[in-house]
Amino acid sequence: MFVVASVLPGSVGRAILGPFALQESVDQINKELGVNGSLYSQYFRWISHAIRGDFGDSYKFQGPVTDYLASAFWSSTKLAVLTLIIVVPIGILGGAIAALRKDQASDRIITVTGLSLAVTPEFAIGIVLILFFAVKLRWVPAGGSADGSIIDQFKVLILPAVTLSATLFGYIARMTRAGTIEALASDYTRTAELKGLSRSRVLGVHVLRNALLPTIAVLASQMSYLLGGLLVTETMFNYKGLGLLIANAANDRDIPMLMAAVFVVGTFAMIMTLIADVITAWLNPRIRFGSHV
Amino acid sequence: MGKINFRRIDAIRQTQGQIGNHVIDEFVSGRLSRRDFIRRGTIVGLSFPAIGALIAACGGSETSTTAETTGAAPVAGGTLIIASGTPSAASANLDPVAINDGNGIVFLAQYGQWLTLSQSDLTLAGSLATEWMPNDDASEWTFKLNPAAKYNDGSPVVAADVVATIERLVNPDNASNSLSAFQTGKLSPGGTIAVDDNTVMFKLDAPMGNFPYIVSSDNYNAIILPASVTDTTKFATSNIPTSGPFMIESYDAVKGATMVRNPNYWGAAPMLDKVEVQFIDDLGAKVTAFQSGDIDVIAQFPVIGGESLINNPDVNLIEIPSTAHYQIHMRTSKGAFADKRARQAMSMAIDHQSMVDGLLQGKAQVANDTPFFTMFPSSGSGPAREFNLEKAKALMAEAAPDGFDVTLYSWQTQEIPDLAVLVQNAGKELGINVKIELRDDYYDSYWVSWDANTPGSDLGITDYGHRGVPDVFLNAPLLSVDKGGVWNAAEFANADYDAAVATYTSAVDLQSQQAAALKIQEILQDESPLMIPYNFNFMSAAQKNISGVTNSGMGQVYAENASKS
Repeated sequence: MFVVASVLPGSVGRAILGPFALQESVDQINKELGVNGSLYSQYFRWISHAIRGDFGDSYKFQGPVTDYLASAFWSSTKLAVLTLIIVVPIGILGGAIAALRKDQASDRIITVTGLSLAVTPEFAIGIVLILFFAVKLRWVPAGGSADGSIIDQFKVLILPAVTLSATLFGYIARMTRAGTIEALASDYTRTAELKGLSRSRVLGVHVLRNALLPTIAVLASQMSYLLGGLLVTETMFNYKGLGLLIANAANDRDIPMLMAAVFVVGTFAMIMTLIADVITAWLNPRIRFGSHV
Repeated sequence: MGKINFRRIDAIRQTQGQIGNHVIDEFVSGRLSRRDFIRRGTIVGLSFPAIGALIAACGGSETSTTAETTGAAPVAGGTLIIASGTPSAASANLDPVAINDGNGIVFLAQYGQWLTLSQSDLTLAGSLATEWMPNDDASEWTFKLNPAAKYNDGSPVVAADVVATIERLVNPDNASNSLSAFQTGKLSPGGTIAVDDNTVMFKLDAPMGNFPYIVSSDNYNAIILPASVTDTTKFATSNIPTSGPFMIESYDAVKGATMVRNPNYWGAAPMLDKVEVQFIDDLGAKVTAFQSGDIDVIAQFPVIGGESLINNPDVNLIEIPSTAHYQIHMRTSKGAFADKRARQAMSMAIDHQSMVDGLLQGKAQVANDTPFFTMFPSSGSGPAREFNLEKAKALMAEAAPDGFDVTLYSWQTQEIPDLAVLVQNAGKELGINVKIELRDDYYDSYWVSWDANTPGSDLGITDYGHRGVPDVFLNAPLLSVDKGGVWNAAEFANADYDAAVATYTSAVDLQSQQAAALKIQEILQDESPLMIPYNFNFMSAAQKNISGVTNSGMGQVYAENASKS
């Protein structure tokens, strides 16, 4: 990542001072920032500070990177959490209903709707929501930052969260449906039914518990996307999250900011994958650590 | 012109210097139109009351134009929410020395004040200065400060503050964004002198007829700060006193800022309680935020992408003719366009009027490949650039009968991509194969050849902001490099041009300026280092319930007299 950031076109000094700055001023600021040194020395300086939690100062804002990163991370987290609160229960419920009513009208409706939403670009869904709920009805703002009271924050967050939920619904419902169908056809489900367990107990304990394993893997992979990959949604709703921060840092050649943000998103992705593995192991004794079949 | 009251004119003449009286004489004799007299008069320091009195003495009546929103009856209080883009890296801390883009300028207009104010009709008005006057050859300019002016901490604005502010800006060690403007203005370090607490004198390196523009809002970095200020780099959060109608309450470099009414404001108190600036970069997001009523004003928007705001009866459109433009340079020193005939051919193959009508939907004025736009009185009746494809082909047949390949470099902003395609199409007519490269590092590597590692370009498009006078456009982009042509992308070097610009710069009366301007225009059209097809209007949008917002072509959004109903 450091190498990629370093070969981005343009000079850091000119990105800071602007196109019409005199070349002497650009050279001077490049020297002050140490960006004229070798790639190796720049990387060594960066990594030696980063491992101590010091990501340095933003070239653009001339303040600690962590201040801006923390704010963007918190904004992205709020959006991700609300999105998950909306999409996880609806997606799982939709997938489960589709599986239980396989090949019936409701299955077709849920499957086609999910697939349609999954292939519809975020900006198309978002703009329809904005035009209807923000411009026409004026119930909620068209975008902005989630600050102020809980209600104010909810009003700002709801449209981007619904946009993202619509996109993710198809994936989650499909995975849940496939997992549920497989679980319904499994020997352990048949055994549970033959043992005379109630329908709800069979579904809750035996079917869904196993059916959700692939869904959890999908959710874990989507978490890093929800945190740092929402450039289109954040741009459309002018929501200052990590996605915009990363894109702007790349545009501004703000390498300390870019490195730190990518580092945070990467670390978060690893943690989410680990958590998903732990949950999967907890749900499925066959792959639990140290267990033997 | 009606009956002339010479007694009244003489009374005003006695208060003016040689240059001021020359301007008055030109008007009285009919050599200056009323519009040109107003503009020229404000430059040489005639006050608006004096100008009005002179017009009246000559049998006319004074009128003035400003671009201002008109809405419902004003109501005191409230917060005006302005949408602007995120300031650039240089502008991120709102350092007045470094601010270099329109998003930063929006802030300066709220809390800052300049000596003079460049208005939308290109006249100058007093701001911190009440009057100004040149010596006989315009090599010295004296400004009188308003004794009532004070900062938001209650301390007065004095001449020492002006000296400290301007000296900081002209110091090459400070990486000041306005250094080139002051170089154009012939002001060097040590040239700003406090005569007394309320009088400042600028001793220039050479005569400069348009100097008051160099310390006006056109040179947006030149807001006056107290002499005690030594470090402006963290301006947004440092509580540095300013003299404007609002002051910063909170600032977030990512999200925006809130400014509150200055309790010690020395002018008429603003009606608004607060001005909030929200950073919204995406034009689509700005438009939907405006349509949903989340914001009150869009500070600026381009024609392309802003169609839903133009001709919309629910929008208060603020449209100001400006001198902002694109310069399409053709390198004269080497490469594809080294032959003058190839440059002339390319220039003649571009249909300026079609660009204005099609690309800009009429929101621009045709230009003639020189920075003398029709808005500038000094442009006079210069030659029009002829669109003549047959002549262009004939010139190309002489210069390069087999045509040639060339790469057009620029960057992605506003309508530049579309303009590049039009240039490409024009080239095709002449057998010139234009390849387009829009790059983020255009200004680093492909605009000006700064050194051996930066190639510059044979063909490129550069965007220039508004100026009230053409001086900056004539100097940095076109003068020979050793004469100050630091932005000379075309690598144009012409001794006759340099001499004509020197004559223009030192001219203090309109006739002399127009004579020099004519010479400059002839040279530029003949040599064709640049194509300048048009200068475009500056456009903002306000809600219908907003009144009193005024703008400038440079990008200032003034909320001093604004109100919401």
